[in-house]
Amino acid sequence: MKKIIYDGSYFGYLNALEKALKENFGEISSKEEEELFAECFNLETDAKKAGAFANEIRKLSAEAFKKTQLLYLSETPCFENTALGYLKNAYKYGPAAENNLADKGVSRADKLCKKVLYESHRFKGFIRFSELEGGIMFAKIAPEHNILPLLKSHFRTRFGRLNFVIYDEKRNRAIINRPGHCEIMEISDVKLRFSENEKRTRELWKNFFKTIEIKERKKPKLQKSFVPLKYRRNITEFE
Amino acid sequence: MDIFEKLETLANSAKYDASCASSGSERKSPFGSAHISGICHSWSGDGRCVSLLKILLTNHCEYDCAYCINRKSNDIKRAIFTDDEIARLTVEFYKRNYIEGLFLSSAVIKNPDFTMELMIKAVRKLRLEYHFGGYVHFKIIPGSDSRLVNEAMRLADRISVNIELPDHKSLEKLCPEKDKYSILKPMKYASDKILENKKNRREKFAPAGQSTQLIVGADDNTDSKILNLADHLYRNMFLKRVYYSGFVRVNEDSRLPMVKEPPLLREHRLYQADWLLRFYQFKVDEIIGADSNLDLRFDPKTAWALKNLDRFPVELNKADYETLLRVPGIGLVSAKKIIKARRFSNLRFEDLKTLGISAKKAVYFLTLNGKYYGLKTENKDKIENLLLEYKQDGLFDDKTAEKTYLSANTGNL
Repeated sequence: MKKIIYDGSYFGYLNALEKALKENFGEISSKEEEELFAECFNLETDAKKAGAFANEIRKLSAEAFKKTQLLYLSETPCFENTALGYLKNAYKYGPAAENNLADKGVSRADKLCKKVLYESHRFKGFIRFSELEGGIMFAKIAPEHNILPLLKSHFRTRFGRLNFVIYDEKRNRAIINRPGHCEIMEISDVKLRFSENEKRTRELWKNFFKTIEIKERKKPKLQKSFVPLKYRRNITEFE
Repeated sequence: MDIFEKLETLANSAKYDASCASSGSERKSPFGSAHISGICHSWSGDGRCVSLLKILLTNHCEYDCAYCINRKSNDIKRAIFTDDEIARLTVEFYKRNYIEGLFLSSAVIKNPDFTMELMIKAVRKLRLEYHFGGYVHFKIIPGSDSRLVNEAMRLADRISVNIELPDHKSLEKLCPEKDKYSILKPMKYASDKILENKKNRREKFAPAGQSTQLIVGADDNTDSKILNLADHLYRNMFLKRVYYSGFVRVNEDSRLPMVKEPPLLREHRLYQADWLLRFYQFKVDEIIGADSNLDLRFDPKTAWALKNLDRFPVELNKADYETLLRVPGIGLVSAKKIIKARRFSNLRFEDLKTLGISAKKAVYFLTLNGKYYGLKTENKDKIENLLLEYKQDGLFDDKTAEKTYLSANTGNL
């Protein structure tokens, strides 16, 4: 089995996919481990080549390009190999590969992409801002997948005129918006001072949330399937 | 009364309305936007989605409807919001991303027109002074003037007039101050206006359409009565949604049935039937006979299939989309997947798993490349029993079905 080791960056990922597809490598990984059975190749990242390959996939089909990106954002173990299995199909069949859902490679990629998109859709609802001194709206999240790039345009459209920060505490990255300017940046050392108004508004919301439950219809299990425990830490009404 | 207590009182009074959808509208403004598919922000302990700040303007009521917590004769805490309180609560909650917008309803204070004017004033303030571009669901008060309905529709994304009781007889008995005409008139006015505006496309005018709610189990009306009414509303009034709300007995009243628990399973079956009408191309008389109730044991599609076994099994690789939709266990998403995948290659039994389709229910109604994987002898009783057994084992997709109808409330599909 021939294996490519790359640096974990997006460009490196594209380089590795290209090499694996064209030179018939079986596996891609960003971790350097002692390999007993695989023949490893350490790949040097090349941004220019990555750009050219991205265009190549885009020409293949818009969907293939979108999925290649989503799989990278998934950050699940071995997502590179899922992408490889999928792209092999996309190269063979072009846009029609999307229909080949009975193929395990295509189906696996399809399911993982849907998971990433589903999580980002959920977070459009689950994100909770707190007002800081000076009026900045601040939210903290810890999603399973790297969904900040997928959330940016939604929150920019909605709150573009506000100063807001959506901080992914797992990845130390944040969407930072000022009116007219929105970007994703690395940040660390977050210190928060809430506005005077903040505590009161939270109490109002928490009490509203408690009040609207119809006691005769209690269904905690159903609630748990909609709002998984792992997300609750950052959701005001479940704190 | 401080704002904390007010909000508690007027949220408590509003919570029995089933609608929480925030879908069907696309809006962009300096502050706020509406997302076409709607967004759920939370789920309360009863498993219902929370996407809007659902409140009454006031719970002071002139009416004395038997089933309603806010009726005049109840000795409860009463409150009324000012327009600015409503606008500011909405804005403060919205910018923290707690909600998609506002759901404003009200009890009838003085008279319907007076109530509507107060509600309009609050929403106008929200839209014009706070430049709010989020979602607004506006509950129309039965009996209010068309001019006010028109004004509400200019400001709102969705409006609704609640029918609550499906016939004249029940209304008279339980809701003596309301009549059929006072409910249907604004509804008809709204549906005409929505249609008219669709042609002209001049301005935003209740872009997410209108909905209504029916209470299930407060009177002796049958499911067939309810579903025929819903069907009529979908086809002739172009309603986006009909909500079914299982009756919760909040008042002691001899006119009301003695029930300990709300009829949740019945409500669930009605939602399933409603889906068959709207998305599965079923006609109402295929789902239910005259003057009868839905079978509580099976979902209405399975019940239909068991009555029509002569139409089955169908060939998975050949049946058209409409036919696939009628196979128990195959939903909208699965049917589309099957059509896509078989364009590429002939599907075998083991492919179903890869496709993510559970064949547990479907297997009795399908062949794959001519082979039948269900029972050897086609025997209705046996199939019925097997389907019931699955259900008892909890292997059935009742949880997913429930999820589906709840996410349907928000229009995720």
